[in-house]
Amino acid sequence: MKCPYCDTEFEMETLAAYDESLSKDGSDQMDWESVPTDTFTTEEARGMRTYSCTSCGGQVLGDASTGAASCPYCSNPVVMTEQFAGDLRPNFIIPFKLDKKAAKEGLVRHLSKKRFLPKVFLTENRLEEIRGVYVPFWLFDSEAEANLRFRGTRVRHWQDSHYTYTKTSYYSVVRGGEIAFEGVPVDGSEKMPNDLMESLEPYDMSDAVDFQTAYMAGYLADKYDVSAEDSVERANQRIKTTVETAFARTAIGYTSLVPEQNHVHLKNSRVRYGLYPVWILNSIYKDEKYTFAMNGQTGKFVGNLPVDKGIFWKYVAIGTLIASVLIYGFAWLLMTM
Amino acid sequence: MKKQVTFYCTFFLLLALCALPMRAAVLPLMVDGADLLTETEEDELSRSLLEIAQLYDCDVVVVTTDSLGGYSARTYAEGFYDQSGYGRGEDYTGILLLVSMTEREWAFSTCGNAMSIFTSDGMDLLEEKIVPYLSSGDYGTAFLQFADTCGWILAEAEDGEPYGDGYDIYDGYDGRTDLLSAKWIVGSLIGGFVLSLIVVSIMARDMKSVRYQTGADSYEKEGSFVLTRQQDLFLYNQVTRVRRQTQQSGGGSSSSGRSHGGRSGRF
Repeated sequence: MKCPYCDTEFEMETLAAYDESLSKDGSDQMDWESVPTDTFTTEEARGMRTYSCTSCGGQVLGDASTGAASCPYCSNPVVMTEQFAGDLRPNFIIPFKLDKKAAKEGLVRHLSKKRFLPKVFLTENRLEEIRGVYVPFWLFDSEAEANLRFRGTRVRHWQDSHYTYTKTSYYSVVRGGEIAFEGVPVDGSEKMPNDLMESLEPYDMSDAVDFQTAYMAGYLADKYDVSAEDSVERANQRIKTTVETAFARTAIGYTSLVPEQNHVHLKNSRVRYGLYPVWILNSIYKDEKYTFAMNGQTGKFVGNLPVDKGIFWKYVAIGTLIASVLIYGFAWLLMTM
Repeated sequence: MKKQVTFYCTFFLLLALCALPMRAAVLPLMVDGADLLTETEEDELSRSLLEIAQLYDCDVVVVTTDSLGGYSARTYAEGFYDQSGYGRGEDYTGILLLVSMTEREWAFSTCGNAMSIFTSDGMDLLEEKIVPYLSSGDYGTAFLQFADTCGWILAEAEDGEPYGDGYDIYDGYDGRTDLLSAKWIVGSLIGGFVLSLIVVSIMARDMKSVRYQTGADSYEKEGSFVLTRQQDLFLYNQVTRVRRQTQQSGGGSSSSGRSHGGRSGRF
């Protein structure tokens, strides 16, 4: 049989099998059930305070004893607003494992061995704020049933005395199976930059414990302002990406593999609300704000650093010299062969 | 007895003849297939050609023909050259001028060292000198001009550089002199700059540490992955082919497998 558009010829059995696999294609079904959370008891509520930032409007929760002075987002002063009750109580919390000293050391480590860092950064940057903050996350757990289809190719080259031949063989690669996820985190605070939070991953759920106000002492906690529903899309996106790579890995021997379809059905899914520990360090250098963060559990330290243009172009100049000489020398060698 | 003597005499005579350098006696440097020249013109030309050939150790041949018989001028010239066995030295050095009357086409074919001696500029000069005479029908002058000009070019080459730009095949030509030209130095610098920029940018990657995650790989539950459906369905094949380059660019190749330079045109 021939395709009327591209003239490619197919075997009858191939077409029948392909048609059958297409009919098995489903669609996504990724719904999540929220785990019922309690609200804070009045007992607990008494020991907590809400602070609002006068400048950026960010809201944080604090232990009564914390006495927060400045906003972790914009470093401006905060004032204590109302006592709260009836707010969502986290399902669990990962307590801080690393203290402020560790955070400072983390920064020193982060700045060391960075050859493109302006030398004066170390001396001129003003560390405005080091705050330990519990960041609210929506955690997604689920079992997934996946059905994927890829277009795979196998390419072979050979030649005879007159021509070089290229044979491309096309395949429909179907994979399906099950895979489960636990604790896929999505940042529940709008003020906390999502990319900054994702850079701190992974968090280890094995340290997660039931929430108790005692863990709050000395730290602030963000109030969540992104709903679970709004976080679903990000969780689904990440899950689908991992599903695709996990199943693509089972298709071996292909020169290229292009995904055509990726359908995921979730089973036994649930969303939980948890607090993760993060050290936030705000620094000012040459009138620009630099935000650093450290994972309060694992110690992973992140934060973008400025590249010193002078150093950068110096390296490029030296590199150009070396590379040009190499290229010229190589060409010279070729000529004399 | 007589028969035996005759036999052996003939045999040894033939053997002796074989010992003579065949070429010098046999190959004429002027082959007037189209009968364009008079006897005297032919003789004069042959003498000139032989003189030049012996002086510079390079065959200079003139061939005329009524028709190319379907071949291109250069192919005919190359074929004639190779099959007749022209060319001195182990590289078969020589240059051949072919003129065909029906098609009114001419061709040069060079072989061996002549390929680098008779450069593009050299062949320009030859063309300039002889084609006007060919067009006007003065074949005698045309061929004499050919011989003289070849002689001049060969003399120039002996003294130093071949006339005109060099041709990249033989060790007489040193490709390295080309490298010193500005364009190679500039090219290396630009290439070096681009390469350096790429490498240094990669080195500076660690300055940026804040980025989104792509998937949820760290949250995959260990041991939960199960492959239940697997199907690799062959659809179809597609074969394409590209003609291979078996010849050197800038030179043709005759059936004897030798490389030739040259050019052709009409008159």
